[in-house]
Amino acid sequence: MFRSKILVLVIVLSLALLVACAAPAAAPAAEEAPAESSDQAASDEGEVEQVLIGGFDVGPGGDPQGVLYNNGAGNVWFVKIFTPLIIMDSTFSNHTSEAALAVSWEPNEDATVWTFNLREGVKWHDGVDFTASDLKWTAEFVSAPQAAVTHFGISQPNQIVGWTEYNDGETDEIAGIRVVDDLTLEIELNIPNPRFYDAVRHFYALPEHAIDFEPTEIFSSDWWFTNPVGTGPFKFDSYEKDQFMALAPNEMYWDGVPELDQLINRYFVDETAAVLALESGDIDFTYVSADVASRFAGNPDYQIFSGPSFVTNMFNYNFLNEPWSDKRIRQAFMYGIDRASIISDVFNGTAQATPCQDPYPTFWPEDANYYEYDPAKARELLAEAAADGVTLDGVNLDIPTYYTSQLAKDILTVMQANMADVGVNVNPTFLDVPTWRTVVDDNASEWNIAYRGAGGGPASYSPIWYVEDNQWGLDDPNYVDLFAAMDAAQNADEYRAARTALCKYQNEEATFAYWWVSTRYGIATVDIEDFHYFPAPGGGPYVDRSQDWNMK
Amino acid sequence: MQYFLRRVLINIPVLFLVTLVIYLLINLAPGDPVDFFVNEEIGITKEDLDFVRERYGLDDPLPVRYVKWLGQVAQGDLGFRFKNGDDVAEVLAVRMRRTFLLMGTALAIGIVVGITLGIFIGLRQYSIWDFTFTGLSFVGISMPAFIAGIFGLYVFSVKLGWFPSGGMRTIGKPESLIDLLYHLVLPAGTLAIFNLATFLRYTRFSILEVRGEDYVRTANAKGLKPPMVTWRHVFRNALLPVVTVVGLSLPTLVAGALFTETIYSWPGMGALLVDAVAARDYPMVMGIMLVTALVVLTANLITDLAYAVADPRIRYT
Repeated sequence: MFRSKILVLVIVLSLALLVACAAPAAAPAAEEAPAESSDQAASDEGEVEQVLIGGFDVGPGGDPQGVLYNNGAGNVWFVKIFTPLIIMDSTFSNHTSEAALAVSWEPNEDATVWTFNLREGVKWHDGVDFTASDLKWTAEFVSAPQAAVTHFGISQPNQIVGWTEYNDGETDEIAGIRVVDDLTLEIELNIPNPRFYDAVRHFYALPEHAIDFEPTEIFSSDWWFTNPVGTGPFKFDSYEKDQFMALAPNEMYWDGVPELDQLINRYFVDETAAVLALESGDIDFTYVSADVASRFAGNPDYQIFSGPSFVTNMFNYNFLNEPWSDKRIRQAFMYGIDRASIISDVFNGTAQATPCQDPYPTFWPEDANYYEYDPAKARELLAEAAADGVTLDGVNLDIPTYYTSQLAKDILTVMQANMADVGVNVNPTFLDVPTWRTVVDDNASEWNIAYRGAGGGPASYSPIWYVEDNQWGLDDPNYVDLFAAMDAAQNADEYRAARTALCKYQNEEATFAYWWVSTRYGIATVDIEDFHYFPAPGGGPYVDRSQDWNMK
Repeated sequence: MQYFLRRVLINIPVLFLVTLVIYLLINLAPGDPVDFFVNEEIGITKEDLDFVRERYGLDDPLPVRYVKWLGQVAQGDLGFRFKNGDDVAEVLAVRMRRTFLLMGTALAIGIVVGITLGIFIGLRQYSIWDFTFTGLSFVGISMPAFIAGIFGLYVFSVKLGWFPSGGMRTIGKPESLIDLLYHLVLPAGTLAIFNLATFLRYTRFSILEVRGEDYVRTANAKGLKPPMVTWRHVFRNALLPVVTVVGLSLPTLVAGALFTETIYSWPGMGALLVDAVAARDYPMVMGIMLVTALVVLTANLITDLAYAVADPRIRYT
């Protein structure tokens, strides 16, 4: 009898525990933190009409529940709340920067001092005026010694006068960033840089007056999820950890009050769940991969947005090991792999062959060699190299990659079969990012080929892959000259010519095996009008005019 | 009581060893949290990464880091996530609550329906009911969780529109118990299929085995009414192996179910662990493992004690 009572007690307690777990949270704290909103009352009464729910952080450009100045991705969502100094055009197609917080920008004669003229009438979400001081403060906040960030918003910030000293804790301010007046910011550089404007596309302004945490807490502060204050078209409304963030329209937005009553970002662990949510009508938009996008093609209920990823997928060779300094070996891979078939059959035509590392066709030379599939030529090149004593015999030909999708597996399987046909046995290995980094970055000479992606800006091209003590031992003085020529370019035409010359050299040398730029997709229901999405690297930021989005 | 205390004391060094082994294993995995931070497409230098490593103390030797972690835990501090700075204990509390709700509901359905049906068909061997439910239980056990999840979602959400496609609440509406239960139906139902099939098969097998025992024949022979024989002699004795299986399932109450949580966007412990391991988020992984190990050890203890409740012949000294 006693035991029966114990059993009943255990069952009752278990049920009580279950019910307790099911009970809604008692009070919103860090877990759920609705902000005061003028729309709150309307929302409570069920009067919200224009609500757009999307999986804005699904896919490679997303950073679910991320914060600014970390990771670098997630800009599709960040730009709804915050605003960068300047921004890319809506499709990246013109590779032009457009006005955001700055309405115009011009360099001095030798491009060592840049003046940014800021937009008048911009207010933070809490009504305080935005000024140039906010930008200087932001730069110093994220560049402070020990600041918890992984990038500084401004690319290669050490080109700014006084930045390094400030970052090292030797000075109290960045001398090269000067507030001329409330609407004018001046940035002085150590070196001439006619394209510095391209370096500030991720330089989002933060509000000095509304931030009460230290630079060391940027990464961990609750502020981003409880009361973030920006200058974007939408302002924070509510957040539920791991589930969603909701935004309300910013009535003070300088380019018109958004038409939506609520914009909601729902978090998904993977793409499949997001796609099913889209199909069931629970969300209105999500990023999708190429194979999923093809399922939606022709469906009148959906609109498809697509664009080049502007990330070049390539084989990165390790020049610390002997065979890779032989051009014939490198070219054998180019001829031995049937790139055209992979693009047409594996990608279903959703990728574009690239002649060099540059993902922007603007800089591709017209007479580039696309290395048409020619296994006989590949065998011939390998035989010639072997005659000179350079072979791949005994070389570790694992191809580590951090791309683990089925598409990537299919691509590398075809490559493996192609190379086997010319007598080279490569072995793709699919790794998570930390493992991949350990294999490729930390094991100097133990790897030989890595399949990876490389991005870059339309007006900036980091030389770290080719010069400046690159970690794979590439030492070609021609690259030093080619990058120097780009740096020296004084206008757009000169820059284009120099960058095209670099592309041509990469193409001729086949320094690395440059394969393609794939197309990425987003799918929205036709219920959203005037919607715009571009699958930009890291999610942009780019002009999307979200203030115009509305639901039918 | 003495037995209980002894078991608790034995579990302390076991728990210590578990944390040591897990800490070693997760730290031996290639890469570290900083490797995960960085978006490969953006381009950040090696110096930047080393700077971040130094800031987070990741350049300390492994034993030093373990002792630091152990010292923190001894003071009740599980630390902060590398990935986003969240308090590990807070994250665990929230995620465990969600997972317990999901897994507890699925387990409760599995226990109640599975054992009931198991008894029902165990007493009707080779009947049409027996064939039907045994056949269905094979399907339930064989179907991978991600297939069941996607199938359930596709049919009941995408095609029929009866249930939401995932999440824990309807976004934009006030939180309510009814709404939560509405979102719970599909994921809990999917998980319950496996539990139900497992418990049904064990119960059926156990009932059949006990029904052939001499003491059951004796009970029938001495004229006891069939319900009395079933309840007092068959069910009670058949329950022991079922209790073992239920006990083994208890750790899933906090461990969660990765595929189901992922497909239904149910932010529980399963998805959290995978996320933490992928990000080499050492404090989070250790927090999860510590709690899971605690639950496994406790579940084992509860199972042993439950034997005594189920079978009066069992005594612990």
